[in-house]
Formats: sequence, structure tokens, C-alpha cells
Amino acid sequence: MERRTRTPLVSSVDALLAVAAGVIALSLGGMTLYAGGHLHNAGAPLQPAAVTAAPAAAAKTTTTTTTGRLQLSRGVTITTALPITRTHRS
Amino acid sequence: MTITDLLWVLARSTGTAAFVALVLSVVSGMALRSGALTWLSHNRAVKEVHYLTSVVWLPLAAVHVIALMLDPYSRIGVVDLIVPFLVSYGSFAIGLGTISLELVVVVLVSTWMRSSLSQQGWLAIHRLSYVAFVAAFAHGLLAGTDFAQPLLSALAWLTASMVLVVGFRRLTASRARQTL
Repeated sequence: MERRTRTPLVSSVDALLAVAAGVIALSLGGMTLYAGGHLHNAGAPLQPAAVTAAPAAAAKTTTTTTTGRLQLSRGVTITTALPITRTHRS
Repeated sequence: MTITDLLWVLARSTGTAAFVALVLSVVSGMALRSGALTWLSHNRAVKEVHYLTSVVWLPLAAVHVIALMLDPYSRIGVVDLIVPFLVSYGSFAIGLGTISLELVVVVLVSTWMRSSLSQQGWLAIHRLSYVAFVAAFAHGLLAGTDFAQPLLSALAWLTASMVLVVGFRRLTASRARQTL
């Protein structure tokens, strides 16, 4: 009995390579066009600016009171450095 | 458009294209053994596609990483390229990208050094590309700026399903060979 062999859709090596290269080029070009037109995405999962803004605002707890000529300022400096203590040993 | 904007666009486009190249590479690699793409082309052509996409992935990933490192907004340093999960924001999502990058580089280098490796050793290293793919997909899902876009999201999930289907066929083909 004669066995039927299926001919593949793309028989040429070069043609298949061109298709693969074309798919990658299309994704690169398409994404470049899209990203160029939509620079900012508020719904993006990562927002580096939002992360940096929050601790910076929290760390600076300075209150300023202005009473006429006198300007009073109270600032709390937060430091992460460990206190240096010395223990006397006899 | 400023330089920073240009870097940002470049990072996003090369990231997406690198993912596409990785998908094609993984799918064509798995199809070599299982014959899942025999309807498309013969094995020699699929092998050439596997090699081409793996090689094309490298410059795309390199540009993606370099653009992000040069972009002051993203604040990614050279250390983050080597040590994962150190970035001050989205450390897990970005760390997965670092892991994926490192694994694919290891797989590529092992392929170029194949003659000096044993078949078992080379195969063990080569299988890391599956882990790299999963890490790259999760990186895109968790960190990708454009992943929420319906078209891109659909394409990404479609390609991931394609990898799963071809992977399943690869696994069943391998089991069938073992039982014979």
C-alpha cells in the first residue's frame, strides 16, 4: 500500500527563516510605534517615581510656623545610623 | 522626544521582541524532537529557525537591558544585571527578568561550547531554557508596561499556550519513545 506523505506548508529553509525574522521584526517595529505614541502608561504595574516619592515625603517631617517677622522651624531628622555607645569595662 | 523617552521606547520594544524571539526559539526547539511543526516545515528548516531566533534574542535582550540601565527613571544598575531582586521597586518582577536573562545566556554559551561538554551535561543545561521562558513570561506579566493592552496580552497568553501545547507533545513523544 502506498503511503501518502504530507508536504509541509513552507518547504524552503530560507522562506521559514524569513517568516521567523519577519515575526520578530514586526513585533519590534509595531511595539516601537505603539510605545512612541503611548509614552506614559498610568496603569503600568511598575511605577518607580511613585515608590521614591512616598518615602521621601515620609522622611521629611518639617513644620514651619510664620508669625510676623519671626519664623519658627522645627525639623526632625531621621537617621538610620546606629548609636555609638561605649561600655566601660573594669 | 527626549533621549530618555527614546530609551524608554527602545526598552519596551526590544523587551517585547526579545520575548517573541524566545517563544519562537523554545517552540522550534521543542518541535525538533516531537515533530509538532511537521505540518509547517521539515526538521532542517525548524532547526535553522531555532538557531536564528536564539541568536537574534541576544542583541534584543542586550539592548533592552542597556536601555533600562541608561534610563535614569528606571534606576536599574549593573549590579541588578547580575544579582536579582535588588531593585528598590518591583524587585520580584525585575528579578525574574534577571534570572531569565542569565539562564538564556548560560544556555547559549553551553551551545557554543557543546563540543567540550558531554551530551547529558549539555542537555541538562539546555533544559534550563524552559525555566528561563517561565521566568521571562512572569517578568513580562508582572513588570511589562504594555502587558495590560488587550492585543499584547492576548498574544502573550496565546504564545504561552503554544509553548505548553508543543511542550506536552514533546513530553508524550518522549514517553512513547521510551516505551517502545
